[in-house]
Amino acid sequence: MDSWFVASISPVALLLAGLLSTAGMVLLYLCWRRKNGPVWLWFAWGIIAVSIWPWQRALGFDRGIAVAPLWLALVAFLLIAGGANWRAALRPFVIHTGRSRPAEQIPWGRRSLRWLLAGPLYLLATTGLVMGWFAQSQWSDANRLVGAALFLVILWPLAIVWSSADPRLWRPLLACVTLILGGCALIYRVGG
Amino acid sequence: MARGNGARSAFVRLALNGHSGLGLALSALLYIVVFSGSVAVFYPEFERWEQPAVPEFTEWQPGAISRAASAIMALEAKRTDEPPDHLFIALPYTDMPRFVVHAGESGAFADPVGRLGAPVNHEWTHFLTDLHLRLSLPSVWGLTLVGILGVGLVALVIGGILAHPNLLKDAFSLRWSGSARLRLADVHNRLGVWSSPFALALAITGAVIGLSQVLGFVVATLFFEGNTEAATESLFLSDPKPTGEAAPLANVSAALETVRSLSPEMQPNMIIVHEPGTTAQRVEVGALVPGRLVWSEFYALDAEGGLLESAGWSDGEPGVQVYASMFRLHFGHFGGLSVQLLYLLLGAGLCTCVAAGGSIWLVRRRQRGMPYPRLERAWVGIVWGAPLVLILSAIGWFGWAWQPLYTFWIGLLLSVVIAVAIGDRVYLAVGLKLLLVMAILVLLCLHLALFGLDAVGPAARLINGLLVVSVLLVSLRVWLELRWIIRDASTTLSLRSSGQAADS
Repeated sequence: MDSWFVASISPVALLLAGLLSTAGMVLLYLCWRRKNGPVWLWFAWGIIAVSIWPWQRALGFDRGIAVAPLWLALVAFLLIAGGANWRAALRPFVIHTGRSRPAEQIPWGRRSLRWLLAGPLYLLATTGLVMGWFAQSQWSDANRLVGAALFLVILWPLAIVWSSADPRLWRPLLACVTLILGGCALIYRVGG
Repeated sequence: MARGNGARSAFVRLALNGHSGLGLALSALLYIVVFSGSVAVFYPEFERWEQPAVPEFTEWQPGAISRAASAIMALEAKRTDEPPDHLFIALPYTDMPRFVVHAGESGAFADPVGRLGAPVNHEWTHFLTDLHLRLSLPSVWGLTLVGILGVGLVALVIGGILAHPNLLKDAFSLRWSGSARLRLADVHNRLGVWSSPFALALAITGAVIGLSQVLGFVVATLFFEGNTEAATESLFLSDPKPTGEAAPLANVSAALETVRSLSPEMQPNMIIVHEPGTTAQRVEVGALVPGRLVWSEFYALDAEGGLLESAGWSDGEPGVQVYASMFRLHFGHFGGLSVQLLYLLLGAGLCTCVAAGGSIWLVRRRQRGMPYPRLERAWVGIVWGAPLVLILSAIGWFGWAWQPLYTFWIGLLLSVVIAVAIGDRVYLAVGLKLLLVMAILVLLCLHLALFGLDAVGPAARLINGLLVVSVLLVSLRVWLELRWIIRDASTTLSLRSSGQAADS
């Protein structure tokens, strides 16, 4: 049974989008294999970028943007699978147990503080910041609400990455405290 | 320059440590959420597969909707004196050609005339979607936990990209002939890099969906005097205030006609009557919007079918449209079967990426002389145990009406316990895959025995076809692994005795 969701698709634009995306990805693959110069590399990325337009023509503005990376990923996986040495892949591998080496010991307290910072503290800090923005923003309620949700789920992961990777823990800690205070000040100013 | 390179490699090392630490902390739950999500892409098809004998059609006779609505209200009135809050009608269309009516606790399929038929019974599919959306936990807690896992996945994708400076240089390399760690790392990195837009889209939308209730509560507490409904009313149509005074049931057919004449290009697929059969009743019609990601457009109508307002999900403010687009983008329901299959494939890739990520950490520990053999086996127990117990939960449900929730979680716990107890990881992995093949075959036979020809009919064909493909793929892998084991039995045994591990 045909899907209702494909009834409005333009087949010509879809074919063009598929061909352009595939051509761009194949070119990217050839550049990688033959170590071609940056001109070809940029050309390949250019074709991929241009292919977004027929994807949008075929499927609609937002659906086109959603489907294009799926297709690119599929073509990339096919190219990787096609170039892989499957004979070697079918052999089992052996994992040798190495000699025990003294590992760098991170103090338990420091490790806990890092996780505490990345998890609950930065959740509080980014929520505070986002709520501060919500209070200050002149956008409509719907835009502020969805904007706040999106900011939160992007800012918090960025903070997690930073606080779990920065060797000087005091920097993310200081930023966290500043964000919490800043967020509270913004909310207080508006009287939330 | 050397100092710059040193700083860069120190940053990469730290980013990698952060990436592995976070991945390790989230791995088991993240794997279950990603795995169940990849399967749940087909939840409408699973609903059809669970009851394949239900009549399917896309056209119905005039008056069928009103007839079915009145019949389900009468059925619910027989069950309880308490009037239902909502009457829900799912209209048949090509992607879900079933006519379903719900009122309170009563739910039934209807035929094209509007007569009620078999009761709705999608227990296993509900378990599957609950597992993905809430990890089977109570609503807000489960949604929030899965939302936090979504945030974790966003952090893992960003951290993973930062931790791999040779991302473009190695964009297509898959070095199968390298060491165990290199193989696993290549699989993890290639899958991770090329599916990162997909993973980010799913993780961000999943995190927003999961954390929306908590965020709505925070916004309401800070800015709307604790009124959550007021905080979110800009996104949804508001519910009417109940009056409790009886009135004739709203004219749902007239409401549908109003929406059809208003937006002929849209496909109405659901009708909700709030406070049905009372003076407060209000009709909401949901219609699919062609060429858009938005879930639906919703129209509010009065009891006579007169238009009151629309939710603006397809043409309202940008925030409303972005929110309304998150669900289809997350569930993969915007391009028919081909997009669903792409989601399944990329979801399977994401599962492999998570599984390989955990294995890389374990291999690294072993190579550094600090192996965790029990954890290695427990990880195999989760990775291969989860699909096995999911299939067993379906067998238990179809065969003996066992609650899938208990079968799955008790089964997964047993799988991990048995995996830890069994001494050999290679035999454990092969054994679990072999059991998985057998379980899928049992499920297929059981489905065929229960539903006869309907098991190969249009309602069940897709899911049973996918199960057959899964059997073939897992069997191929088992066959290859058994061949290695038989050929290299002496090597494997000597490795076991010297405390080393062979893996596949």
